[in-house]
Amino acid sequence: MTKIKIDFEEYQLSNGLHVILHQDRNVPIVAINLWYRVGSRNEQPGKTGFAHLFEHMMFQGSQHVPPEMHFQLIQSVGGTLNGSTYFDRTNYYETLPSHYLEMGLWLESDRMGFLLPALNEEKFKTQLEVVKNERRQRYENQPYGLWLEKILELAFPNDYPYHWPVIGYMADLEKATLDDIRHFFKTYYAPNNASLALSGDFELALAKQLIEQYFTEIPPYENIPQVNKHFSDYNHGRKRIEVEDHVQLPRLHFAYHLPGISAKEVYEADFIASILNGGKSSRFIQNLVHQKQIVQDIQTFVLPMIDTSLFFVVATPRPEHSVEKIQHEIDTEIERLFQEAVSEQEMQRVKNQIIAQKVRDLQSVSTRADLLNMYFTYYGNTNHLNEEIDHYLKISAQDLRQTANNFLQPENRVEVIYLPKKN
Amino acid sequence: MKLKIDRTKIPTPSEPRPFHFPEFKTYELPNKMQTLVVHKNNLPLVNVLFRVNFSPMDDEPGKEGQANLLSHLLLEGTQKWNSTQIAEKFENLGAHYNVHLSWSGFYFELNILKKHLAEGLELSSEIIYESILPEKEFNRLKQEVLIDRLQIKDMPGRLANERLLRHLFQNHRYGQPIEGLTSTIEKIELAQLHQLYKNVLLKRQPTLIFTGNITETEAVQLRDRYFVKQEESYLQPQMQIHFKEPEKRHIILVHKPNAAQIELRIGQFTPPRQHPDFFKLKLLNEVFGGYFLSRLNLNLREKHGYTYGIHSQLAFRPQLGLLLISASIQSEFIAPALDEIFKETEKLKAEGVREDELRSAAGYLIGVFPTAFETIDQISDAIANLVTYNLSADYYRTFREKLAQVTVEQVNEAAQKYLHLEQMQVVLVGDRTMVEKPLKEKYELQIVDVKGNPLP
Repeated sequence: MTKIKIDFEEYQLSNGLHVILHQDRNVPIVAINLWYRVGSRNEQPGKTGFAHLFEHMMFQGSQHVPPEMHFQLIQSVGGTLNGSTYFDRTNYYETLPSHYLEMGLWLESDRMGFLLPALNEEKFKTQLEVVKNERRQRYENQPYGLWLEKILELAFPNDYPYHWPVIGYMADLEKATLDDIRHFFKTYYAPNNASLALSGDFELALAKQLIEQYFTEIPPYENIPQVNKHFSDYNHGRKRIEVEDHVQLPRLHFAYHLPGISAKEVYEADFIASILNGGKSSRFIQNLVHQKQIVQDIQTFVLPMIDTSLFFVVATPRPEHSVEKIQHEIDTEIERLFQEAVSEQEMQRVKNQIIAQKVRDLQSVSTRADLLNMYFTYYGNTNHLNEEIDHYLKISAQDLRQTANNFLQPENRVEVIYLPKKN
Repeated sequence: MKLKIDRTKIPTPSEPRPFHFPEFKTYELPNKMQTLVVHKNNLPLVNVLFRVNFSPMDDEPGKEGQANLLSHLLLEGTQKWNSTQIAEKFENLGAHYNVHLSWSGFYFELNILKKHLAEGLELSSEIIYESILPEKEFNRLKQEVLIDRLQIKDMPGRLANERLLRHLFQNHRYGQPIEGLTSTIEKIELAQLHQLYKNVLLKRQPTLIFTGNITETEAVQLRDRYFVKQEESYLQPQMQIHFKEPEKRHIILVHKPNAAQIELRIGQFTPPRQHPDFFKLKLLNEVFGGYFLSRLNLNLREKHGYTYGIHSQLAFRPQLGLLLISASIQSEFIAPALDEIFKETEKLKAEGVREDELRSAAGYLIGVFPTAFETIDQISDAIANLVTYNLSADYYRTFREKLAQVTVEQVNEAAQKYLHLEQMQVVLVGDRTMVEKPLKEKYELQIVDVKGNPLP
């Protein structure tokens, strides 16, 4: 079997920062990647969107890095950079020509340890407007743009931390203050709540020395608050809302509850998503798009989250085909998973797709750094990057049938149906 | 806290290590099929790109969308296999495969594990040479494209792009989307596609690009086994057309009721990709709106917060280039945002760029070069561009040197020569009730509905 092993070394600094080093000297670039264990899940109702708003402030300079210089220093030497916020984590990353490694570590350590003195009201107000415009651009001004927000609201109780979208609500953003940002930093942004991965072209001994030099003096926080809310309402009844919007065609959004990311059922559900919808030979595409020709497009995928995950089916009916009909067809396909074992050929097809995709994913050093950090943060096992494929390959048709039966029943799902607004 | 290190100084870089664009070899057969091989041996993966000079320019007038439908129909049935079997065969091998039609050509791309390469190529060869274009699949695909056209009314970004190109190119083929319009797609019949396939697509000389874990000998053998079936070449007629923007600036507002923002596009013509001033223009665009530190982005996003981001880019058609600016702007601020864009353009023409700005932009494009060629798909696309735009074989090897040689004076000359402030054409898609009044106070405005019909 085609299998790639990513070698790495990992250790912890005295202040709790976890370090992962993966060397690949083929191309003279180095990826620096930091994950902080904080995301929208750590927010409170009424203060949503803060984790993401905070992420924007991390690019506005820090005590020793003047405003605009963070971008300036990285981009002017050919580095790329960004960050992203998710329910369970926030990451920051840059890929630099490898001889700028030290500068990258200096920048990351400065905003980890010395952000507060650089924050000011003017920068905050501007970024707040930028984020509100991000919300408008990516969600409010897109067809069906708020579908995920509506799914989360329906799937989880009001005070449960996956109830709200990562971008946050407009009304909450309007109320955000610079003090909120400072408080967020003082609560979550510490070395003992983060991990640093380097991937690419560097000398191991030198990298270790630089990391020690720049990060060790940043003090850890005591008592970083943990989220202690856990979801357990699996198979507790179907919920449905209908939303009228300015769209030409209806769209069905189904979300089934799944366990948290590290459960084996999440892998199995991901496998099922590929059986149903992974490529043109998959069941949904063959049956609904090609044979019956009743949907314009359909997607099936898993949204993995630490505490509890979701399995989605999203379908746009072709004109003249009712929502009820499409729903019936989706249900029929899913029921088939309860009743009959997936064929050996389909099992093999998905396994082969996964093997090839894992190889493709490993082409880029920045993806490797991000994956190493992800497996450490979500699974507490960095080497999961090398082991994960075996979890997929061990999955049997019987496992799929079991997981489908346990988690893909209608009483385990919420439904958001978009309908074209009349006139 | 007492710091152990001096954080006030920016760390100096260490000695750089060199990067070279991957070596590639070119082979030409007696019948002129060009084959390029890039050997990149770090993962067991191969990309094969089959490219032909076949584009929407081959559509019959009034039946625009033929080339697009034909391209996609190729995956839907051969003499041996039906649509489902083709998908199953590729996907059972874990392959990625797709067809792509752009203004610069037709591409069939296969990304596959090395051990499955021969099997993947055998099927690819059948798709390219022995498709039967089944009627059932034709009807389905045609219907899918028509429904997609219906859905465009919901998509402000696509509406804005299409309206701008329509306005810039008027009745030229470039003024319509690659997939055609509802009225033209409806006129497409299967018999036309059979003709186009046999008489045009299969008569043009292809280029074959192998990238990844493959030696030159292997590539040449595979090519000979699966691809040497070309008949005589039939060249695409190249008409020289002079494109020119309208004499003055037009601002078109596409009224999309209840839009949450304004989708903005601004465009003007620039010289084609092969023009000797390309590197000057590339740097001019970078400083103007090409990257995060560009003047437009620092002004509209970082200073004013009018938008999540604004970008300008150079886009190319075989005979010309375009400078395109795009952003989603908060509706309340569309008038001041337009003012700022025009002011920045004017300032760039009047005062030019600063040395430090140019060094930063050049530093970015030069430094980011190795990162842009990490995957075999990226390398393969880059090599295809050499063919598309007829660039020299050493183009990527000298790319960074050429950028580094561009001076402030040259960029400023390019700004003078190529930025057409008064002829930049503007399309805005959004709700007129929010923006009509402030815009009309400063600008002459044409208002149309989402289909392009004038509104009072």
